[in-house]
Amino acid sequence: MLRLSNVPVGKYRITGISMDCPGARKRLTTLGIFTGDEIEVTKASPGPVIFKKGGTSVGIGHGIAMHISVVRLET
Amino acid sequence: MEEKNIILTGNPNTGKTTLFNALTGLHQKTGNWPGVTVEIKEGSYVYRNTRFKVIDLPGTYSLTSFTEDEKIAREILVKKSADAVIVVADSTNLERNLYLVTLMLELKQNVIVAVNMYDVAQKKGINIDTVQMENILGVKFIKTVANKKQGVEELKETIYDYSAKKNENASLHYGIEAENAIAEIESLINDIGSPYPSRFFATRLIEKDPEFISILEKKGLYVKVLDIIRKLEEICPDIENFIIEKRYGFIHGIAKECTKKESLLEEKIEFTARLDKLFTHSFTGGAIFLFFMWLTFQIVFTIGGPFAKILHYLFSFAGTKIAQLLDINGLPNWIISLFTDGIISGLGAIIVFLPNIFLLFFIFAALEDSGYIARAAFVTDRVMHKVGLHGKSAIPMLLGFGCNVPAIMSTRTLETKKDRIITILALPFMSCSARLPVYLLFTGVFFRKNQGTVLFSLYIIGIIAGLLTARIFKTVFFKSESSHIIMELPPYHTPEIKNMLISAWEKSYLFLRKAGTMIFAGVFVIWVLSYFPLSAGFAERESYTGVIGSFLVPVLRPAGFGTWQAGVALMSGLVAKELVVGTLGTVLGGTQKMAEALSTLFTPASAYAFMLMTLLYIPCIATVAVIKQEAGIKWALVATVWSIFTGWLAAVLFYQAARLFL
Repeated sequence: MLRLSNVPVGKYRITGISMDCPGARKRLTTLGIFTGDEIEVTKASPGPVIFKKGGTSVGIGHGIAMHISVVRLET
Repeated sequence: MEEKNIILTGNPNTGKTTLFNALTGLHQKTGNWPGVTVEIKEGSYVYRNTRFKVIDLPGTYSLTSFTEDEKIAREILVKKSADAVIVVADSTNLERNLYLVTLMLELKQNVIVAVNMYDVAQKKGINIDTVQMENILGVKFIKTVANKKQGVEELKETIYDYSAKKNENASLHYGIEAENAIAEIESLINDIGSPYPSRFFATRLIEKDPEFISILEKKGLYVKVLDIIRKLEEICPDIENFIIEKRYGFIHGIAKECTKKESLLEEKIEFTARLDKLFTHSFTGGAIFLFFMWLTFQIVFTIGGPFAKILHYLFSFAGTKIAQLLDINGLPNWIISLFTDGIISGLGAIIVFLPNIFLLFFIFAALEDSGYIARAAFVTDRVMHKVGLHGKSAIPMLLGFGCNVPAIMSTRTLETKKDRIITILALPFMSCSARLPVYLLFTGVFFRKNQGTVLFSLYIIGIIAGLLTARIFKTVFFKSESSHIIMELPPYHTPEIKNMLISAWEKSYLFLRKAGTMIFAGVFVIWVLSYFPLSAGFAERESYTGVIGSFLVPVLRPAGFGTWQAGVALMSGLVAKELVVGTLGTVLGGTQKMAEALSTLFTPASAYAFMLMTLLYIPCIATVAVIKQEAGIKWALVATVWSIFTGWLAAVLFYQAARLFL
């Protein structure tokens, strides 16, 4: 299983969001980010990660990215 | 004339402010919502003999109790009972923007959706069938391009029509089990006298909104509601997110049915993505951020400098002419002194820097409008994380370069109390525009060849002091808590000149208003203390100013500026930092003589130490008051004592080191 914090740029599907902080989870869902979504990582770690979903570009800290598991959609 | 209330809301970066400006023109003002410190813009326009008062809410994604901004937006929506609510939506990203629309429907608002930036959507091949959307949701959709004023007249006409009637909107269905639970909760809360519609209240409870839970707990009803929610959780364990997912599912269905994207043969890499590769890169991003900050201060000097010189000349000329005029008319010396030594010297010394301040705000407005500020927060995240904060705290800090007061208020967008308090404690070290006149004065006299670089160094020292403060307080008071950044990065836009001018003018006007009230009063007090007792010469050591300033001399001596003039200037700076220059202007004999007098009182090393002290000690009494309001008396006292101590220590260390090595 891949963590969003460790993947290079590319297209992925979110397979799980598991974080202790309910506020952070709610912020993601309010922005329309859910398990099962297809995303495109445009800036990978080190540091925060940027990914795109539809027309939205979201920046998340490394600590949050560690709690998002993904699978690669294309090589 | 009939009056109607309109509320403008929407996600951040949807062109809401541009639409607000297009609707209201220059008939707008910024004020505070009663009881809270969040700034709310109000404007008005007349259409068909009706005055429409428009309230521009802060940009929000949701109406939860997640941030203070969202709570306040929700409260205003309910308490203001607007005749119509305009949700400004970004047409290139309609799905996410419609989420707020679904919440407005639950809040039973009379909603009109302005599908803004439609020209950009069309360029991307996106076509939106607004008529079909209206049929599904029961709310009116108007396509707008606010920066070109397209669709604004149609929007005004729709507001006129809609505000006259209450419209029936669609209701979102959450599935049988959830709907049964909502109905049960509604029956329990129907009589509690809440201003919120019962369905909205019930869904907020299911989403475990702490504020709504607390209302019910006080009424002793939450146990029963919790029972209903627990039963629902047996069927759907992640009920909070289930509700949000349902809303997005509903929106997704609408968007799929009502929007069409023309398939382009070759999708070109977006401008935003290309810029982001540079601006958010781990190395280039940081370098570009520092370059932008450096460039800002160079522009403030090179373009603002000549205008400041013109104002300086005008004040000197006015001072001489008024003194002659008053003298010819035989007015007593004290009146001549009040005008020339007090008002013109004191206020003039501050107002001459208005062009620089206007430029600073103009550039910040450009950075904000372009979408760069969000990237700045992003690239600073790694550094901020090292001091226990995240990049989102960088936004209030950047705002702090303008004025610390609204910057402290803007910490309400931060999610945790820890983030808010640490950011608030670090913020007073961000060099606000009130400190700029002090730097401009001293660098103009002592560092003429390197003004921009010296100024840049002060801003950097301010940032370092803020970050160190955050680290220290995080280590001492908030050891275990950690937080992370989650934020939308809006697409880059070409900044709107009109928006930038309005923003820069609003803030410069506040500076001028402050000069005309608080600073004027401060200058007057300094003049009185300098003029009396009559036995002493004006602003001499024996005057009251001299006596007061002399008390501080022993403390300030190790920093290299142990003079009563420096002491009294720093003391008056506690009221407002601009008064440091105003006071020096008064006690040193006005703008004409000030440069010469400063050269006798300071050396380059002590001048830099004085600027360090000015940079680091508490910005003004208004900042202390707002810290007290936002974080409590304890943190206001901590911030005051800590900043004065830090300022003094930095000045002493610098001056003593300079003596050793230079």
